[in-house]
Amino acid sequence: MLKGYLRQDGKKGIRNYILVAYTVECAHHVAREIQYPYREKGVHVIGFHGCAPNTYANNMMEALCTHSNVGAVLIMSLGCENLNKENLREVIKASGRSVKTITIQESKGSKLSIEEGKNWIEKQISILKETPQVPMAFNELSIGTICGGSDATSGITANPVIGKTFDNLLKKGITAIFEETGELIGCEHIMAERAETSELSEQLIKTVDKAKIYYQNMGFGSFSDGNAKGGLTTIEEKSMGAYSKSGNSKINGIIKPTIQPPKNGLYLLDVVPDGSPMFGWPNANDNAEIAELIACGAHIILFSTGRGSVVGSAVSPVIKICANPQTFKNLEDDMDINAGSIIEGKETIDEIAKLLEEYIVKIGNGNLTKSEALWHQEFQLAYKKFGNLEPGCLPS
Amino acid sequence: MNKVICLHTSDNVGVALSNLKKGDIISHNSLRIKLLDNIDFGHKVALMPIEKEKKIIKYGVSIGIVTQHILAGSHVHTQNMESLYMKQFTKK
Repeated sequence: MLKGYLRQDGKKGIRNYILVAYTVECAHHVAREIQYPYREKGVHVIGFHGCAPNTYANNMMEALCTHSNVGAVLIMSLGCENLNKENLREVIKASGRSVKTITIQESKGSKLSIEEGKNWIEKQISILKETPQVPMAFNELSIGTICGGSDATSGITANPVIGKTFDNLLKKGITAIFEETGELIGCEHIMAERAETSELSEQLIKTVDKAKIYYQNMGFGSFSDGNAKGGLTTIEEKSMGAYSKSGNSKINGIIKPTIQPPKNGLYLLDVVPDGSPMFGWPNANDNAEIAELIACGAHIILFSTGRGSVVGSAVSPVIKICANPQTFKNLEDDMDINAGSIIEGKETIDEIAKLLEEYIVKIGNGNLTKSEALWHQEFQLAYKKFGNLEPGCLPS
Repeated sequence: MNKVICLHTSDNVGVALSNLKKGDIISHNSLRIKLLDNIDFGHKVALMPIEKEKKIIKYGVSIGIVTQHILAGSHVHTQNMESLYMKQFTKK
């Protein structure tokens, strides 16, 4: 059983963080100055660097500022940017969260804005301390997964461990989200067989086809000589390594960033933009994808790494499952779970999956992940464009 | 200690957990298999004889098709299997 903070919409969070959310890069420094003294007290910075309007970025900011792990939000604005900060404020207020906007151009500049912001944060910290915690069940928990800094070990240890953990926890009612459609090229027909409905099955194939075309237009091939040297023979084999994070359970739907799964189950998050490539790579780095998983409601991120990524995230804790025993030895302070022991023949996939499940429960009860304890709070939000979901993507 | 990992009960290949040498003995489902090739870490080894045109099963699914008969204990890679997906993909 977990412990949660009950929100007005009935959702529960496993953290009670305060966000300092900047609405353009010009307000980023001031936001960081306000947050930094309180970074060990659950105050995180998120924001959008762009000044030109972007619906996706607006939606992401709204979804993150009203995430169930968030208790209060300070909006940091320069004053002349295009992000709709009034609407953002209204959405946060309507969610029952405490919110304040500081506009630097109207608050006599950086120095006074920082002072005003810190005063508000201090008050919020003492108010949020009083938030009662209530029991939280697995069917109120949402978990996302991603892999980054992968190597030959990822697909045979950490990724199958995450898949097994998803299978175990889906039986207990969680919502689970996997993504990276660009790395599912070659196994879309295998994935389609797991769809709950025939409409969804078609959509799963279409979603991967979209990624295939997008990456082709970007001049990106997925299979490299290095993959073959490492023992991978075919594109479908390589993709299965990434895909194995999704486990073997039935797939219930496809979502896009900021869409909340309408009911519990397993979802594919389509992170590849719609239309022709417009703003560059689908995702600049792992944290951009992590932010999208969180914007779909994920309370916890399971991050599989072989080479050894050290990142965490703002808003939701990141649990790092290290696939490679050598990497685990080198980066033990950054790694939560050693799936590399499977390579050494010391433990099995099932055993590590059980350990991971126990660890998730601890994190859901307030224990800090390795990246949280080191105050990793990375955040990335770029320009993107999405259309609506096709019919058949969501469960009825 | 296991020298290979079999990722799904229906798999016909295992993955080497270290650099294995020709002549090494691996065990799979209480069978002992003598390696016919060197199998580097991360590479696949046939856990049973697999006929031409049959599928290579890893993670419980097909990852390609056999292009020439494979003996148990052989290295399974580009020399004896190929992608089914790329074939379909390039035909289009």
